[in-house]
Amino acid sequence: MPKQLDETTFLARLAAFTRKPTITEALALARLGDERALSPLVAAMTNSMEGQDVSRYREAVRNLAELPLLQRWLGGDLEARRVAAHALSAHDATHAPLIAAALVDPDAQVRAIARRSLRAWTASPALHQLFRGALTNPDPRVRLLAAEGLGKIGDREDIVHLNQALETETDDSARDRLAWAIEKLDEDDSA
Amino acid sequence: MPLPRLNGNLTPRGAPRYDQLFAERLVSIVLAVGFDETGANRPVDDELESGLLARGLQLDPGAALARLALGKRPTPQRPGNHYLARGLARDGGGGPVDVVVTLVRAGDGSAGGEAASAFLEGTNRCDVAVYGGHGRYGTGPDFDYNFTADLLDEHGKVASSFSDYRDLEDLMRERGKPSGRTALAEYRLLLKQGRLVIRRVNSGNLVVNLRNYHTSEFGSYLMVDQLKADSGVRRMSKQRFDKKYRLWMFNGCRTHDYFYNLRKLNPQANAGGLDLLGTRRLIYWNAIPDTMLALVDGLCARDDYRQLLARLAESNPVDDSDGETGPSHVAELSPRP
Repeated sequence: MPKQLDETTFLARLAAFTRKPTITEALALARLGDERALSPLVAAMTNSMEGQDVSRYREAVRNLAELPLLQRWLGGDLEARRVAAHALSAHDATHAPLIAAALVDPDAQVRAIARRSLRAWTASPALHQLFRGALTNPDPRVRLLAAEGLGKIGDREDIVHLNQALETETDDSARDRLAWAIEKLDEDDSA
Repeated sequence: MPLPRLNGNLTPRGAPRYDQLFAERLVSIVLAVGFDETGANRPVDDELESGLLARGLQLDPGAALARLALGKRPTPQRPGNHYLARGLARDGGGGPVDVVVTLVRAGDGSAGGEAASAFLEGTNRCDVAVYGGHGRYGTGPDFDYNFTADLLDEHGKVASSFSDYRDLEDLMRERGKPSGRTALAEYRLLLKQGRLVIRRVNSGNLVVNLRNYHTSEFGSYLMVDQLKADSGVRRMSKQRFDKKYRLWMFNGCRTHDYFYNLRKLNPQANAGGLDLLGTRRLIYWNAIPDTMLALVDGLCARDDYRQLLARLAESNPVDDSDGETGPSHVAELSPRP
């Protein structure tokens, strides 16, 4: 339930925002903390192409989509999972297990959104583990991203995992990235 | 001194040269959907395809290519999705005009270079070329990611990695804040210190313009800087075009930024007449399919330019988010003989 608005007013504002999103209203709706705003906020965020508002819609989504909400939605029905996946960010270490689960979601769209979230990340032990686990993901595009991530933030122990992955890798691009990561970690280790 | 530019016209006179566009009772059109880092292009891909099917266009590359050959049009040199509808338009005498559409989509960006090549080929080969996607701050159409940027810590280890300029902007703003630096100042400082390492991915870019018309926006610096530094990037001004009349529409944010260079730096493309349609403000992903299809509908209905602009505006309601109000699209027309 909205924290500050009665139900009728909240729904009216949500409907108005869905029809014509504005950044001021996006931030205001996010502040209310009502999860029913997540879907229209994500739609406004993904619809924006350029300009000053792009970052602010992202901010509104981040403000509303706190971890418990994301966990619940990503365990929910298809529509909820597709919406929530857009709020995942590998810049947030707490999202790492959620991204890992979304990467093997039964729905291709959820998997694709989660895969895109792995294109940008901040180094953390949680993400390091995520990259290791993703070396065996069924999607070669994910395995490539995992190899690239480990090449950048991995350590000596990862060389074993990368070599194991290289032995069975069938995708040319992923194999190329695995080889790059192994060379890089070898060099780092001998430096 | 202000940068040179052409803004386009909200009330253009006249119509596309239908006698040339519909020569041999055929019009060839390439529709291309660009790339978005968050995947916002994917629903557009699907909606555009459904829109074509709903208009009676059928995916039939064999028949489409045969019709192109019969209509004395160049045939595509790349495999692609080619649709054909017989008699979808009418010529000046009311005779049926067949429509061949080539649909190009960036998809997940993994073959962005190929998609860019297919669109580029279409700009020369087809009577009408339409791009829907990011305007990339006035630089040109784009069919893939632009870069990977690694932020290094004080020991030279990668602390963060980015493939989306919006993510990078967020971090630069956050990092610069305590020191009172803007996102752009922080970005430049880190580059200078060698702590931001950028690997360019520009095979999907078709560069129209490298003047920065949006100096208040972080993304424009990043885009222009990276494209300028890439000597291998494809520039529209270097492309060869056969002499013929064409109509191009660029349906991305503020694509009137393209007009000046397309008009002044592409003599071959202009030699047979080049009519341009573009936008004068921000647009939104969810309006792109309807806008591109509205152009197809308008051409099939032999709209004049004012009618075309009205159709395009219908799909892009007035929006004041960037301080610009009024209709979404403008025309920059070639001189009439």
